[in-house]
Amino acid sequence: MLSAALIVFREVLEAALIIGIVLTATRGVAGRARSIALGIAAGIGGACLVAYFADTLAQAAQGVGPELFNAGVLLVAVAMLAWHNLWMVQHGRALAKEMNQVGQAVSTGNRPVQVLAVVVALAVLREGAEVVLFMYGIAAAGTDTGTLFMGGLLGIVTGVTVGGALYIGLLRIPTRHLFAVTSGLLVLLAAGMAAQASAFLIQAGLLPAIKPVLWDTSAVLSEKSLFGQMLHTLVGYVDRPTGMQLLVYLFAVALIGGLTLAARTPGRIRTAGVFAVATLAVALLTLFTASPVHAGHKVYYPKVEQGETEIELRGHANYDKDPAIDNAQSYKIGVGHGFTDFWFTELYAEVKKDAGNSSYATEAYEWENLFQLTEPGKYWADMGINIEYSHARKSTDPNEWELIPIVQKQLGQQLITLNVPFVRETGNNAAKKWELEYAWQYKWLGNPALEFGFEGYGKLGDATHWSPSSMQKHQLGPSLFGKIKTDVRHAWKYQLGILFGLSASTPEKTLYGRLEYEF
Amino acid sequence: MKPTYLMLPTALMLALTAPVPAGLAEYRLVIKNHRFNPANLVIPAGQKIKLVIENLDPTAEEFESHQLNREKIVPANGKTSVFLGPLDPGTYPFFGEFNPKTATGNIIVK
Repeated sequence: MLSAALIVFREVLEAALIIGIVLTATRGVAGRARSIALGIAAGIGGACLVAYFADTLAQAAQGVGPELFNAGVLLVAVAMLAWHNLWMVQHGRALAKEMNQVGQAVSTGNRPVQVLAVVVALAVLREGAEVVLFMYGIAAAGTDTGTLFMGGLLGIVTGVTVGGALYIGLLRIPTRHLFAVTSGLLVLLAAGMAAQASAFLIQAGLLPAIKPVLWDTSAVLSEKSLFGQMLHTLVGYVDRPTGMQLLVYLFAVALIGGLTLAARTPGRIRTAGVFAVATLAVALLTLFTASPVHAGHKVYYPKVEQGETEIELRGHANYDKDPAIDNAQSYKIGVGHGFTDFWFTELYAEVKKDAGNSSYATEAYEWENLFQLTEPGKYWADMGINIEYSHARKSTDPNEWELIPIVQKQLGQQLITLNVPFVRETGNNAAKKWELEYAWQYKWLGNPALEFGFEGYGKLGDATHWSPSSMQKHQLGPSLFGKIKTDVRHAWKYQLGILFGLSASTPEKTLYGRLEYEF
Repeated sequence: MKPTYLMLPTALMLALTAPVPAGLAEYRLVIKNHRFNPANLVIPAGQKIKLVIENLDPTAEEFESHQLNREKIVPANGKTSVFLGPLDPGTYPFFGEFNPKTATGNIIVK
């Protein structure tokens, strides 16, 4: 009901605003009320006609099977919503200006008053036709007619009220903010519809589920509960989603949201595209793939930038024939800041999924402190140290300290970095010994947006007593890196890599990726 | 206990932080009105140098070069130094991160 109300509210409000602008611009013109009323009536009539034909069309299409039909309607609605959001952002201002000009032209007698009726009729028709389409989308997602009707009614009443109040001047909300909020909601609504469409296509056997049940939160917040249902219709909440549903959802949010943002700020289309692709890449990586070797597939640089803030998402997934390590996944999300020119600190939450288990759980919280010890280029090599503390969420799991000396050497365009983590568990069930690991990276400094390199990671065992080679873990593989600047001091950084296991106890393949936003 | 495993990284670290030989050649860059001067700075190949960047503007700037792998804040009305090289002959562009349109330049290694 809420999704119907939201859409109708938004469309009615748009139409009301256009009418409001025309009314304002033609204040004192004789016969304007009649013309505008006529326009509104014609617009509504036209929209009803569209609705009627849409129904006939729908009847004809029922032949293809309900799943396919529903998915199709949903996807058309998603596309329309996306296009609509974009269009409003790009043309909203121009539209308001144009309406004003028409209004003024009528006021000054340059154009006949009947023009108003046509302008208003077209505006109402357009919004009305959209309402029809979106309603079909919602109906296809499984809302019954009664609730749909109630929602629509609620939307009309609130839309007319807010639109009217804005016109009279009772409400002084800047419409820009109002549209920004509803635009954001519509992006999530569209993404939810897209995910729902994918569920229909999975049912019809046309799409793989990837994972039948990615997580199960029905005990915490059932989709059937009142609040759950509200979230389901508004933002697409699903208590037992398939992998494909989440993938489609994330992709839709990234794409539609990114494009909407890009349209608002001209010249950011490329950022939006990169963002969507990167989200898709990370989402794919997470879903098709999986802890074993540390969550941290990251080679640290001995460099700190004062005043830089970073939001980071990284993850990896393992593949192996051995089900004991296959499809284990780990993700870290963190926020960090460079407080001085030698100290950068970041807080992370780590989410894990073990092999043979389908649920994700927050495993640990981590505090990372990166120190730059030398001025880059001053000595033969640059040095730094990273001190990390990881606090396990479950008291039965050990906590962990990591001391990571960092050495970096630049040779012309080649950059070689070595990290040597010393890891010690503390607390319950801790191993009570220092374990030695390594991580290295070779990178060719070329085009900042796309660079190529290699990375290797390994675990050698007890620092003073290395494990036999069959028990050591060694991984090696290629990586792509890049940094894309979007503005002064704003940049996206990414890395995508694959590692091949070189020893028996290492996963055959590990896919890993990292996405950072710096500002 | 096999002390050799610990000695190796320790020795490595001591070796890496060996002091810089005194008398490094110094070069100067001045930032004024969000521009670098000189915009093209020639330095010798195969030699480490110290680049002193002085900012005469009342706003901070950041000296940045991807090819040189350097990013360093230069405070308003202040100065900082960046170590470069040894480099192969070539042109290495740099720019001011906060004013990328005007603050541009090249380190030309000959």
